[in-house]
Amino acid sequence: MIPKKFLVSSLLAAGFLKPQTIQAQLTQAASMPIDEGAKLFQIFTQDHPLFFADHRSHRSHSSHRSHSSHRSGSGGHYSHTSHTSHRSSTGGYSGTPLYQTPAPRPSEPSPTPTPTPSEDTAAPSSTSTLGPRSLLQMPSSAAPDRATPPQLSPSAAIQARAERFKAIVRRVQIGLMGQGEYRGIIDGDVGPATRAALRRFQTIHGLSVTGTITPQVLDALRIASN
Amino acid sequence: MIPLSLPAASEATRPYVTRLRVDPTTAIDEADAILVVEDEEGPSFSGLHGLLTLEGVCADALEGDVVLVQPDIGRAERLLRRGSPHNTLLVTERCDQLCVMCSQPPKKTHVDRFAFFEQACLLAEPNIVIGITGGEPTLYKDDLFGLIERVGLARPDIEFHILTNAQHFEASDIDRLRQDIFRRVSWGIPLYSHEPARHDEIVGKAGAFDRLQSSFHALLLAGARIELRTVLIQDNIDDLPQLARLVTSRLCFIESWSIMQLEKTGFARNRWVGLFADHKLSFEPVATALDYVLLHGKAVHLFNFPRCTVPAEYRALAPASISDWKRKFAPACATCREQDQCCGFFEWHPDEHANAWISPL
Repeated sequence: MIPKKFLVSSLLAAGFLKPQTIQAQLTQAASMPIDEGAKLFQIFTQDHPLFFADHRSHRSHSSHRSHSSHRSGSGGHYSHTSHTSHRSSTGGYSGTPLYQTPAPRPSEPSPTPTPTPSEDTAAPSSTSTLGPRSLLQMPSSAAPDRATPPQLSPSAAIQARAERFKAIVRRVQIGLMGQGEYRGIIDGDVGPATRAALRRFQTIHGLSVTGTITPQVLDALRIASN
Repeated sequence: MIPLSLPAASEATRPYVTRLRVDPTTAIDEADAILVVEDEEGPSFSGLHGLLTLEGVCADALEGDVVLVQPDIGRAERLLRRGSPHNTLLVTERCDQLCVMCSQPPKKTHVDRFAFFEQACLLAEPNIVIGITGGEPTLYKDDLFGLIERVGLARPDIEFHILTNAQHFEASDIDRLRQDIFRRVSWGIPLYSHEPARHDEIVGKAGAFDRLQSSFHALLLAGARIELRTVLIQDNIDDLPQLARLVTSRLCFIESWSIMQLEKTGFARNRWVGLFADHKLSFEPVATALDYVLLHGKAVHLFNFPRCTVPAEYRALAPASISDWKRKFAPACATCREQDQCCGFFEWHPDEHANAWISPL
């Protein structure tokens, strides 16, 4: 008895006998009436039009972006999990209008070191409102941007910024590699090889050929979508 | 202070102008860049020029902003901020005058950014007034007029306010300035004294007063809209009553007269003690000038005059004139009821002076 029990629990631990896997849920859902299916479908859709499939965006959703109202819509409660479910749904749940072409599943890029917030991060300000077109509203002196001379950020801040930028570029490179358009190094630099790959990818998919990381490219590679 | 220049990482190799869009449904122009992701350090956008990562301002505060991305120095300059009534383009840092109180002393070099400014103007939010300043913008008169004409044609909703020393208008400009588009241009022109010698001394250029008169002549014939500007310093505060007579008699074609208090930056920073004329101590010459001009039905304003430093009967003439991004209030202002109507202080104004000067309303 005891060994049997032991065996069952270890199988459970290994996930073999787990009663409710996502796959099982999906199979269930497929045989459900339409409205039930629609409910399930909603789990896999984004409540906000823009979505960046990156682990770093979890943080931003949970803390920083909590104030944004117009983009996150009403159901912000499941946006944390939507990232993971987005991924796991690609193979199993076909037939949703979201995923017409199954994409290759490139391995995740190595997690980037979390950059520390820079020193010169200023408080956001959006208090200004559109005023009347009066002469009184005009600048009262001839002093535009000279007042804020480019301050040399500490090298750490520059590093952090470059790293945030590169993290996105790396995802694009991985995406292009998965499409067979890029064979270079996943270095996060937009070099000649990456530009050429972008141009090929854009040409093949009928996108505007710019050789740059456009919203269309991010959309097509499913790194970000509207 | 609202940051106008942001640290930026971009995949572009050359500078470009783009408009930032947080809400993708508002992205209607190919120059729009759409928000890709935002994290604690800042947002990343993507557009035709590729990826752009910014820092220091949250995405929502950037919605609709027109920025000039400069990959070489790793900055993005917010040329036009959406919803701000104080958008100003600095077209050159050269100037042929050297005013004793200049808030932004000129430089010898000129970086030609007219093409970027033109793109920016075309992407501006509807119905805004775009300020143009320098340096002296009319040193590049053809570029300036060209920008106004082209933007004016494409965007009939946009108005311009241009700060100029008016040392370069000529009779040959009159026909051009008579075009309809220039009805939407207002020229802010400094005049410091009714005494030619004193004006010349203050602006650091011999013959400046006379040259100004001939420019006024051309501008009058062109029907130009002029806002006269007089910065108060110790040297000219007692000239105000006489200057008021000049304004109403010989310059009666001007649209309005702005009497402006000193800004403690640039040259005025180190010369403050010798320049600052405390109108709170001696409002008499200011009041006399105001009375005279008002009597003649001219519009007149007191710019950068904190309301509590102005006698109650003239307070209505002192609007909240200091640009949003560089305005602050002194600690002693905390209890004031009229902050929202007051110009406050320039960000770089010393609090010690402000605290001792004001008396909250």
